Amino acid sequence: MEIKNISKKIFRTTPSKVENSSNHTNPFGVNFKGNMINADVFEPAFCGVKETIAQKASKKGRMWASAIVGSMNSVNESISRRMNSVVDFGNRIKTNVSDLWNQANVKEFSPMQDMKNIINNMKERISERSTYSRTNLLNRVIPDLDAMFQDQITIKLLGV
Amino acid sequence: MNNDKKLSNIIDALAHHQDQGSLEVLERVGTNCPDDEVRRLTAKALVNKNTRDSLSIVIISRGKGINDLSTNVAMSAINELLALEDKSSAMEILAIAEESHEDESVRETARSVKALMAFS
Repeated sequence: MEIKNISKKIFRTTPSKVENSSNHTNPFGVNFKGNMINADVFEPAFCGVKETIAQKASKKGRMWASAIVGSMNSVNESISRRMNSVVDFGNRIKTNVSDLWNQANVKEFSPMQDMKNIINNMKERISERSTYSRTNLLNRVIPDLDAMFQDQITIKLLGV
Repeated sequence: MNNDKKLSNIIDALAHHQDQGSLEVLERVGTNCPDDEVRRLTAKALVNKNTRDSLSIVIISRGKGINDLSTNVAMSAINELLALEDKSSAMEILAIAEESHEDESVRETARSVKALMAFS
């Protein structure tokens, strides 16, 4: 073999053959740095192969699983939040009950005394009401009215 | 019973009292009170007494009754004067105040109220 022919075989400067690009759906993949890209890297909009029911079911199954896993986190959060509020409420009740119990232990429970206090309070109110009633005031003497007038003005001015 | 109701009842009782001392208490305590509402109620009570002495306090006294610095008190006193059934005593006192009072503002007020009462 001559050196001249060898050099022609090794360093081929022109493309060996013209490829027909009609076999590819990829319009940019005909030639890449001088080499052909035979594989069709773009997925066609319609590949012509129908998915089987089993494949569809499996896809849907994966979607369901993903949705369930996503929602489980939020459900867990809401449950834990509610549980915390329930626990707080329980703690508050417990504290209030214990305070009430402590107060009940400290305070003497005397219903008769309480009743007496209520009755006395009511008597005072009725007495005050009758003291300042119009009929009672009309029967009062002037010095009494004078003193009462000044007392009530002082109370009003002091804002008691 | 609240404080306002008690004060109202006391002033009412003093207004209905026949004793001359009631007038003195109303003038000394009521008309000199710093509280507008007490002065207003007192002026009303004095007008409703409708005697020469009580009307003199409301009409002639400077800073009291119709001459009060509080518009609310003065207007209330004027309204009570206008609402009187027997206006004869009030007109007499207003005429005296208009003619012979030393204070110009009291004379002016008396003249205005007298004119209002003449038309009412």
